[in-house]
Amino acid sequence: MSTADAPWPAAHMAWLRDPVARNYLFVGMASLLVAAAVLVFRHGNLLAALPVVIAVLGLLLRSPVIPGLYVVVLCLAAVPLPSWLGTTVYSDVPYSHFRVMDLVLVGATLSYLACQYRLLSLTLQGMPPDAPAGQRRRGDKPPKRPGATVPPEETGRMFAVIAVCVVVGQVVWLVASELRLDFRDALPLRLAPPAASRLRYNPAEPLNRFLMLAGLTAVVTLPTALAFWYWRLTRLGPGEARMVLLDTTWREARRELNRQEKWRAWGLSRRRPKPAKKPRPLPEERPEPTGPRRSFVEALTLTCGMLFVGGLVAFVAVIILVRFLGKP
Amino acid sequence: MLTPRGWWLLSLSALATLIGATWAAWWSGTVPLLGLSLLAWLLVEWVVFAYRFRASADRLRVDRVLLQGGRTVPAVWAGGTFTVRVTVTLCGTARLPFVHLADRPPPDLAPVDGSHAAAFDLRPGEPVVIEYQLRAESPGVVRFEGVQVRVADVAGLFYRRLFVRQPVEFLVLPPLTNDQGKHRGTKRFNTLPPPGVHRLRRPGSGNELLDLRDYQPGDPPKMIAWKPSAKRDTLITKEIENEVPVRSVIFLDASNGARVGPPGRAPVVRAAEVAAALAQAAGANRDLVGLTVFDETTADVTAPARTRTHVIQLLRKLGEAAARLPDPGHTDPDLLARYAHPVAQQLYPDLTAREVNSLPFGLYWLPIADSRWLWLVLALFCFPMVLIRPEAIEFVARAANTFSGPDWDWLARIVLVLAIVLFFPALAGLIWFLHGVRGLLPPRSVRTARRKQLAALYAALDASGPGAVERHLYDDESFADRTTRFLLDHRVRLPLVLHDEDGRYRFRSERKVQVLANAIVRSVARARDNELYVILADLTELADELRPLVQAAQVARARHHQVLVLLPWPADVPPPPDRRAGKRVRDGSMKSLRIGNLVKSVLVSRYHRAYAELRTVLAKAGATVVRVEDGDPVRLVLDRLDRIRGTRVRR
Repeated sequence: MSTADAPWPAAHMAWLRDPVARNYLFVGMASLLVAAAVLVFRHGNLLAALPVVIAVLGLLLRSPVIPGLYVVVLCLAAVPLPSWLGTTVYSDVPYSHFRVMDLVLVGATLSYLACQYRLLSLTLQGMPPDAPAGQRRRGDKPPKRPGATVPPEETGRMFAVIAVCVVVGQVVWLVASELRLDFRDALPLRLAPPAASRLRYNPAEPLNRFLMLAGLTAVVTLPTALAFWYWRLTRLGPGEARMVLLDTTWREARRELNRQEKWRAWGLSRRRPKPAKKPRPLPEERPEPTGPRRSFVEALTLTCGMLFVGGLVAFVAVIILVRFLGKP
Repeated sequence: MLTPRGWWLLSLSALATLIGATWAAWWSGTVPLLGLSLLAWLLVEWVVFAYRFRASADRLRVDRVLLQGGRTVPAVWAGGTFTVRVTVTLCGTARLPFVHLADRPPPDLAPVDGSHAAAFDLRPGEPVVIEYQLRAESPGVVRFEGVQVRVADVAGLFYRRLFVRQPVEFLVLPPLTNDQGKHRGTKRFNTLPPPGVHRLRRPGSGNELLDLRDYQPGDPPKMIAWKPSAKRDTLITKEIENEVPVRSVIFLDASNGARVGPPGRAPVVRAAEVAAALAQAAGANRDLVGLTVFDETTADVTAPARTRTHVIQLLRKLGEAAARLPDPGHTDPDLLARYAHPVAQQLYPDLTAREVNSLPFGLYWLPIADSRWLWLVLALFCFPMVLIRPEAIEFVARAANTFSGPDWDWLARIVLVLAIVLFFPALAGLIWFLHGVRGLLPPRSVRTARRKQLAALYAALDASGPGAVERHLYDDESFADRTTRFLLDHRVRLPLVLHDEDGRYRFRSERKVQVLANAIVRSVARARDNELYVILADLTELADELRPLVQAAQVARARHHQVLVLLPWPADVPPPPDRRAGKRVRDGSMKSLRIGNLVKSVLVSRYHRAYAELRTVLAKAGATVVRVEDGDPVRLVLDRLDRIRGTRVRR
């Protein structure tokens, strides 16, 4: 039975026949339900669930734009309304570590994003197109991940990874907000709880958090990237290794080689016989003008006019030069 | 490595973390927590993906077999479908959950059934199979470059591409013809002569009785026919028929001009098909067949033989000849680079990556010293030297006085004087900057990057060192030659320009006539008996340069050999009008006189004239000229072989 003849779901919802896609759809929906509950409970307002509505649409429509939009709207919604109005002088940062509401909200958000992206990979596009935009052939579709190859334990692994990431995020936030950098001390890190009210607020706190996060990112990312870089170097193929050596040698000797090869190429081009110049066509062989032929009076008027305008411009230029440069 | 999806998520996460940690954290810690958790998730996904890729992606083993008729074959037959089976095995240690494998089929062949690409979950030691069917319409070569591997994570956030190169070529042999339909239909003798020989009604050392005659002293006693001798009471001697081989040599034109044509319909392909049918039909008649494949420079000679192995060898040579692509003779490096760069990026992604094939900033800058603008820049720089003349100093002073206000202090006046004095050097600097910066702007920068990457790739493939990179960058001729070779090696067809600016045909290949003539003379020198020379060559455009060939044909005719010229006719040219038909039938398309039709009709009539002239010239030398499309050329050749035998009979 063809897709068009299927009674349910309709052709544009045919992706729902894939059990793996359905699984990720339902898990994503459940995650969003949890997120909506947390947002409503936290703000006491049904409007707080607006990001979740957007995300539900993203799941059903399989739009690749919606996850980003959801993150932006959720970040906006996470800040309480009095804070937007500037009517509060208190901060909840000192109490923001390992709060159950945050743990659940962040976990549900991560779970939704993971489900949404996997659903996109299964039903819409698993990897970017190979050819550049101008060179794609008509009918070329980016490959999708076949649902039949998805192992059953994948969802469980996804939840485990998400749980680890939520905990890591909490720990990093704890370190970034509770520790303060002070390079005047022997040990440049010291405990300094963040201010709970504007009266005790230290203006250096944002900079301190930024430096802490930048340092943590560098500490984690750089060694990992270096390890992978070194691993890649150890596994270079003969062709790649040859190309690396060639490129390095070329960059070192480029200036000298460049000069030699330019001179050589110029010499070759001079030695090459030049094509014979084509003889000028005889008057009867010249192409006829494409437009209508002007009358003698028109041509005379045009020539005289051009001569007059040109002479006028030259006269003005001479006058200006004499006026400004001829002063004693 | 990050996909656009991944870049968006990373940017939003980093932004949420940054804003959350610096601004929004005064009110709420949720925003930075969300950003940090997202970053942690991305980091974990990246580490897992990078580990899997490094541990496994470059440890793929590809095995390829071709199946035809249900069994594995080293070469396939033209005119039939065959199956390509590619088995990919992961020899690494980590699983790749989402891999897209795409075999690169030969560009000339269209898939008949199945798909050459599929997505898999690759696990170590568990092979996956891609199977699809292709159809080869004409003899030649099918080249498989390898398998393209695209790896992504399950969420589509990270992506890598590589190509497992495994270049392999399989011959497409000309189709096996039906022997019953090709060899001589009338059976003239009841007894079958030994393979490769034919009966000749002259006394010799064969097996069949030819005649009886009177005994002459010196005749061997064993040849005495005792019964007739007893009847006639005089000694009678038996005469036995002679047995002679009839050999034919096929000369196949594989020159550049004969390779021009649509894929699978070029003259050399058609000629190879006819030659294959000839070889098989003559082999079925137990005749000896030789082959000489010639082009503008060389002639590859295969001596006549008649074994089954020899026929297969001939088919291989014909397949190789039919596989040759025309050298387009392009000299425009940019045009060639536009074709070669995508091929290089697809087949050599590891050697064209910027990490190993770098594009430094200085590569794009256009030095003023390479241009004639240098002289202008130098002149402008040196222009302040005119201040050694008092008149120039006076001019500068007057100009400064004119442009300065009455209330200007001395510092402003000095600045004005310096501005006037340094105006021309500044102008020179501007020219230098504008000249150099042009190299950084597209499309010049794109051309430079493309050419440098290709130059480095060629240098790496040829192991020719960094000097070759610069040579390919600045020597257009060298770059064009190497790029053409690169494209032809990978069997990429380039657009052909058939006529030059003066309207002359660019693929005449005049030198092949001399090579062909030398090959014929060589065959005549090595001939034993009367032979048939079948020339399958595209000679129509060379009707006025056939003198060496005419002389060679005359030599062959003087030695009682036969020369038959079979012309592969272009597919888009109608057959010449039959003179015996009398009145010419007007084509309906001539009614609509358009420039395309007019040019086509002129070219066709010119081709017909050249064909008529060719027939006349070669007929004077005793050679017969026939179009391949006229009737059955194989039967014609076989009849001509019989005529050679007949000539011997009459002699």
